[in-house]
Amino acid sequence: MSLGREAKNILGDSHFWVPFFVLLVGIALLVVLS
Amino acid sequence: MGSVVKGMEKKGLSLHALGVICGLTAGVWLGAAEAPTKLVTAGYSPFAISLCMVAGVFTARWTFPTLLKGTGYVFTDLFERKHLIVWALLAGALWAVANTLTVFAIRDVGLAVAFPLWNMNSLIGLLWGRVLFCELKGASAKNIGKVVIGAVAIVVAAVMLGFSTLHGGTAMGSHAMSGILAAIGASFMWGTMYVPYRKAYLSGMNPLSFVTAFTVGELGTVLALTLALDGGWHSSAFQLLHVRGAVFWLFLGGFVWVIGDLFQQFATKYLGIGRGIPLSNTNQLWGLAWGALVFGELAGADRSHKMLVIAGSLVMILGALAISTAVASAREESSTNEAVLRECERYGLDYNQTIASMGGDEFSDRSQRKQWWDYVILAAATGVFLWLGIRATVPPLQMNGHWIVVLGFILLVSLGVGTWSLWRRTRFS
Repeated sequence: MSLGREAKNILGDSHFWVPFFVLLVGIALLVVLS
Repeated sequence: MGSVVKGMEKKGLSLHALGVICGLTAGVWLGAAEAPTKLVTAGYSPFAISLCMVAGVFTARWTFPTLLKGTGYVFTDLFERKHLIVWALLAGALWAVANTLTVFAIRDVGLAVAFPLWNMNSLIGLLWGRVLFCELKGASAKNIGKVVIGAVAIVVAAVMLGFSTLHGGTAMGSHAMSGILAAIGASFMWGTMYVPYRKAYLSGMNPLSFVTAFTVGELGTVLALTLALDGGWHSSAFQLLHVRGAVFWLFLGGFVWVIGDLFQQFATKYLGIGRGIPLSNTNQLWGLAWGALVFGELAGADRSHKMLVIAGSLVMILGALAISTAVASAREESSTNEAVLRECERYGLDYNQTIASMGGDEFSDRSQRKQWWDYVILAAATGVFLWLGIRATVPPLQMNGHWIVVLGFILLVSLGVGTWSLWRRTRFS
């Protein structure tokens, strides 16, 4: 499977966006606390 | 498929029992891993502590997969499911942010109280397990009841422990709110980190392969955080790396964490998120033991607050046990198979091979023969630990040596039982 196809599969997977957005929130919390 | 079933029967131990052993062993080791982060009271920034721990984690995480399977096996496994490399990097980043938050939490509210708060990650994991992977779909009313009661017990326990911090007479009260916020943030990070874990194991990946990519995400993220938020190259993290006597203990913390996390990964593989996380969250008990017995963390608290901490811990453990004893029924298992099918269809995986891999049996004839560079990796990692260990000095903290021996012995026994069970049942697959 090509890299483009792999990327499309990952970005089109609704599961991916859950940990991605939680990670952004976590980084924001670290910025506030530091 | 018949040979797989026959193999399972021969080996005796059920996958559920194996998952339970892995979960409990993970608890013992993860609980011990936080003890070295007590060094944060010696004046280093949380980023410095986290970076040194993650450096130790990185060193150890490459060691175990190389020792047990060899890099040839690991990279073959990774490249058969390339999309999971991205998921592993994402999980590593979540771990790194969570770990840094826990160091903030330990600094502000102490180990004994921070631990139970971030262990609420089991609720987050339970939520994602249900929503994303159909866990508990088709479960009996009894099992659902166990899970709901267990989840509520964990929340009640967390509130009890948080209350004891805010109104306690201990020395850690002044920054309690930010400490609690950091611990809850870590709980969200770690609860969500199980989404990539579960994703990998529903796709049949070996946990040893997953952590090898995972650790690159970990180290990269914590290095970026240190550079961005802790003074760049002037961060105390880089000064701390030159304090060899202290660095060893943080590397040791990372090393201990890796062992716990590997068992946690196997528990997630064989039990799922909803059951695996609560079991490994018995680390709260061991964290409390190290904090209170070795470091005397509760010495400044009065009797009623000590009782509140102990009662909260017990309620939390009982809640976790209620969830973990909800053994999956055949109907629930079929829901898991639906989740596997989803992964196979989206990412073009072989369904039968994936199901077999999930059961600890692998059909592929991947070579596990060690190459010369495997021995170089092992020697380099061991050399780093020896080099740091020779220069190590005992941290300037008051510690109870008797309890260190007792808890250390429990660590070794649990490691022996967990390793033997995994080897006998799955050969670390």
